Amino acid sequence: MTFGDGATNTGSFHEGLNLAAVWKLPVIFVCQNNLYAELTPVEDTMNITEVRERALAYNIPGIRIDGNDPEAVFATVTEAANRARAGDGPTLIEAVTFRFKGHYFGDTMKYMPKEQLAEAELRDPMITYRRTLIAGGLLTEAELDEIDHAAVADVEEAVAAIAAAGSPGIEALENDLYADMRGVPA
Amino acid sequence: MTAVTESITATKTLGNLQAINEALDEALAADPRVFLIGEDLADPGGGVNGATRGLSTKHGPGRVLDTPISEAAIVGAAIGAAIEGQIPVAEIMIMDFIGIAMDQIVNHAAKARFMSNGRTTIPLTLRTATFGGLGSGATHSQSLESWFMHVPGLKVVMPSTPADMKGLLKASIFDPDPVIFIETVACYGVKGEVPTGADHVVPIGKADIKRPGTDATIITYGRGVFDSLQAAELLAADGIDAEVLDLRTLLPLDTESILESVGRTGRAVITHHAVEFAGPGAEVAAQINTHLFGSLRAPVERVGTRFRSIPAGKLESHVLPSPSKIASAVKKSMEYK
Repeated sequence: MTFGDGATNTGSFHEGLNLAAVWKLPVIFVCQNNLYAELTPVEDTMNITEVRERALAYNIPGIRIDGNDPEAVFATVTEAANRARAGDGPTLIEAVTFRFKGHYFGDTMKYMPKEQLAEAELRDPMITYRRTLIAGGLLTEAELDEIDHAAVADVEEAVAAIAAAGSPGIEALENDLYADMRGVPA
Repeated sequence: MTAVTESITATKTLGNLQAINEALDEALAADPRVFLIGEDLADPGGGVNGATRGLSTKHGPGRVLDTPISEAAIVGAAIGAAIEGQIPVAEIMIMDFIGIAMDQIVNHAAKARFMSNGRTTIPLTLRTATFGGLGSGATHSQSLESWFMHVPGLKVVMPSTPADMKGLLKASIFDPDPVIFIETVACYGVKGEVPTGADHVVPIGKADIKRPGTDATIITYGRGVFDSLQAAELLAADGIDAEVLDLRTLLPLDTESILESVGRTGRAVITHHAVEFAGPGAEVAAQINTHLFGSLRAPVERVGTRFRSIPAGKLESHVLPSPSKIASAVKKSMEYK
């Protein structure tokens, strides 16, 4: 289950973690902490420095990792999945990352210091992990380009399909509110 | 053949609380996907009022799940189970606390079918109860059914008698859409005849005439049915023959039955324990006005709870409807000739 840092300030987060802990449910809670909840930095909305500390209250493991490091993410999620499968209950993983774009289209991002953004962009895993893979001899530049092009093509295909589909017709308003639309207010 | 006929028509006397317990018991027995989730439901607690007593013992603790005091998690977990193909019956013990779960109800349970183009359905039954009429105070006594009538995607059921309670609870559990099923704690002890046999089901969306009459229609539901039947007795002593129409379901509303009855009597009094202002009666009055304007013999009257926080103790009776207030409203209606 994934969510942002901001969601961990809601009651539902705490109810959910507590219930999962009490029932030892096989859940992996993955918090993508990108340091901003909408327009507000996390330090203004939490009296703790690390979201993982919230796991302490529910007596479940809380693990903070570099969310920009795919290998760390893979290893930590694997461990949490093994715990869950073994019946040992949930894990809270805090994957620290950053938000390179605004919260919404047209967001001027006045709240985010330019230096902080510039520094974070240097740690963009799309760039740094590419270097790691090439340096380690795991993939070549050409192979990575191929992956990139395929991903872009997938997105473009999806966008084209949605654009071609057009908006639903007005008849869509008469369906799928209930299984049986008899007696439903007009 | 005689035995078969008897099994269909036979009844037994049950209280509302027993009717609820039997409906849950039969649903748990009928379908392994049915389970109960909420606070204090499992034995030995068996529900704060005893509605689920014995069910965890009979059907196993895996079918009756006790939760922390976490209303959002109760409804959220039930919705998740519904998405995965289970049939959850969740309970929010006291209706006043349902606000904590409102996001789950309004933005998830009610929206899933529409937002998924019909692919994701939520056959959730959410049982909850009003403690109104027991002097329990402002945060334990409200009738908040109109909140849910304002949410497309939900159904709202609020039965009065044991036969309706049992039959509608089973209909709600096996309905493919989310149903808010509202019980009245003050009426848990009300007894009535309930058809025996597991096939007793009352369809959602159908009102029922609880007392036929010719002079005026009292439209009501839940506890208001008993207030209205008493009012009808008071009125009978004065020679006024009032019909009592029990809506049973508020969404979808059985407008057809309302218009049929008021079309005959020409007079309508609507009563409920929800706040009168912008309450369910406002919608009923609007429907009557739109469709029967020319044939009404008197303005539509409403008798709801006053627009006040419900006080604790004896003062409560001053804000709630009562048989005498309902009878007075009918008499006022009768003054128009």
